[in-house]
Amino acid sequence: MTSYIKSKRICPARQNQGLAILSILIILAIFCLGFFYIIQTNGLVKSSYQIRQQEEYLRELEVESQQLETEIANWQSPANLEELIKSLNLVEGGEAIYLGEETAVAVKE
Amino acid sequence: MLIIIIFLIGGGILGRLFSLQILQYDYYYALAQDQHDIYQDLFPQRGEIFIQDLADSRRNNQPNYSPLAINKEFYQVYVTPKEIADDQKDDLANKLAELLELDKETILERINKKDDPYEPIKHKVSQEIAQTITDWQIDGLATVPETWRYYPNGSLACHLTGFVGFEEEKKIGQYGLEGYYEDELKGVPGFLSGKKDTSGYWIPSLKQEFELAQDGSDLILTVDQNIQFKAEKELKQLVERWQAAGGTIIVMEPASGAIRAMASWPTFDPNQYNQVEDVGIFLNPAIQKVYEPGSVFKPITMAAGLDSGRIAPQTVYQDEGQIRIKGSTISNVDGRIYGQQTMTQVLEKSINTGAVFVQQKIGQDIFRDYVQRFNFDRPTGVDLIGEVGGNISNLFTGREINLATISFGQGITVTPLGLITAIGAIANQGKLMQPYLVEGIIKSDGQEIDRELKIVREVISPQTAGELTKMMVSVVENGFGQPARVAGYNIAGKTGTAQVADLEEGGYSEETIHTFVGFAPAFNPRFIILIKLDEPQGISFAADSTSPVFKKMAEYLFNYLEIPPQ
Repeated sequence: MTSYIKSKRICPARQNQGLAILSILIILAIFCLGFFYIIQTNGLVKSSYQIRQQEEYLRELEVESQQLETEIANWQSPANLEELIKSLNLVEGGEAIYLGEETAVAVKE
Repeated sequence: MLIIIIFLIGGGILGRLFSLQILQYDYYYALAQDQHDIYQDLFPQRGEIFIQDLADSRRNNQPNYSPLAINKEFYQVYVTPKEIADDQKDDLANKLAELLELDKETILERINKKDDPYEPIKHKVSQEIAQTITDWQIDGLATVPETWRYYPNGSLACHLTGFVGFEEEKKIGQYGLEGYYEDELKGVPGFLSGKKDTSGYWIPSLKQEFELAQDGSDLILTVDQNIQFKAEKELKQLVERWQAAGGTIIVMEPASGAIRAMASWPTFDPNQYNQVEDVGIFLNPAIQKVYEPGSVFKPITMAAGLDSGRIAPQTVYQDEGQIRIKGSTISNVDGRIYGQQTMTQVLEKSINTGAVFVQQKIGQDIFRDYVQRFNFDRPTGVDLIGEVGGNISNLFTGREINLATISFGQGITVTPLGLITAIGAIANQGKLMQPYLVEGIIKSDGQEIDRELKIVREVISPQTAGELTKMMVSVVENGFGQPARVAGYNIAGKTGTAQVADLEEGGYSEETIHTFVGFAPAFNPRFIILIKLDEPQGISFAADSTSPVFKKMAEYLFNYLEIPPQ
């Protein structure tokens, strides 16, 4: 058997080995892509869940803030203030006295 | 045999598959879509309405707005009858009736609706009550949040705000500002479509569509909450004191037309508008009800006379107590004969024959022209829904008697806002301003739109306005308007006691409507006030009923707006 024939016999084995490596690489790539896809999807779902949680928390805070604003508005309403003033027995303000340009005013420096 | 059985079973399976996948395709496709797809309408938040606090703004050198109409989260209590056990229904109805203050039979009727997946029990339930219901943990009983319009000041400025009611099961602003600014307040709805997870929450996907809802705009009013409160308080006392049918107080800034207060009686609570039996109470008497103003119209007649140059404040005429016009007699209200009088005295003593004298001096065409210039035949254009204009049709009949009676405010109808706007032109050097309530609109993106002042027209010259103002000051200093006088300040004003038309028997009834319109400080006016009292009992003249209230309001405003004496 010549060396040429020998090499011809060895070649198919090398070719098969190359194909096998390529196949493994493709499978690995698909596996990696699948793995990354799962990681991405998992991350997306996790983020969505966190966003949802934060949105719910934000909504709770908004409702709480709205309730506080309503309470402030109720307390600050003139009718309510008048009732409070009555209960405090405060005296109504008298006539305002304006200081004119010609009025003598003592200024402490 | 076995082959036949297998064939039959196989045929049955194929038939069922055909039924499910071909015949009932649409149904199951929709069912599957409902499980995976989400389509939601996104509802915008309704814009809120804010009222001013001028005193606080001045003290802190920055605007202070208080909420007049806001959105508040309440809860709706509902049941799913098919999930409630029969033996629990009576017990549940008892508990709900006690907690929600409802009739037990009504609740039972709703709970017993078989196969009903949703039956509302009560709307606008507070958070505390909703929490109690949640804590009960009863199957088939639940709460869901819902947003409602809320007016934290109750009935304050109710005729201005109006309310949010229902039209074809949709919430819609009705009456007042809620009605007029419905398009600005309601916002633009959005929508969301895409995929949802097993909990029903939206998950990002390629086929998603999302359009954000655009919230409504906020309104900033010219109205001051303290002036409004004072006006409502004084009006209530006035109506109760004289057992009147109703009344109106308007406070306006003559130079701009900005309305600082608009109060009417009777009032209602817009939070509970559905409990009002007489829907007529929802109408704003200041803009939606006309009346014959009486002698408070005389300054308009004088304005026409002065501006046309036919009379001067010192023009004299001879009063004989009455005037006969083609078979009709016009007399002075008090029946007195005043003799020789100047035009200033005509206003001071509110002499009817004097007003007729002026009208006859200027003639039909000029008089008609001036009444129209003052806009009495049209709505003022204020930003409130449903405003009506006055009726001046008697001016066009060509009958001399009609022109004569109109000269002292009979046979012509106006709204209180139309009247104060017209007198406001005298205070504002002859310029008629369009009254307004919203000074700014804040859009949901933060953009602010400020209102520009609108001069309708110059109805009389500044000189005429100045002369007429002096005459009206004289009314308060020397005439029927004396109870409105405030020491240290020049006040221009005019009273009017008008008879109420008898719609059944014709002519005029015994009932009267009292009006006082005045502005101060007279020669640099910061405010003009109209006070109107409908059908008071036991008092004859506006000088005694409405003028003292003007004094109280003016004293308050001098202090509140920090206007020093002259």
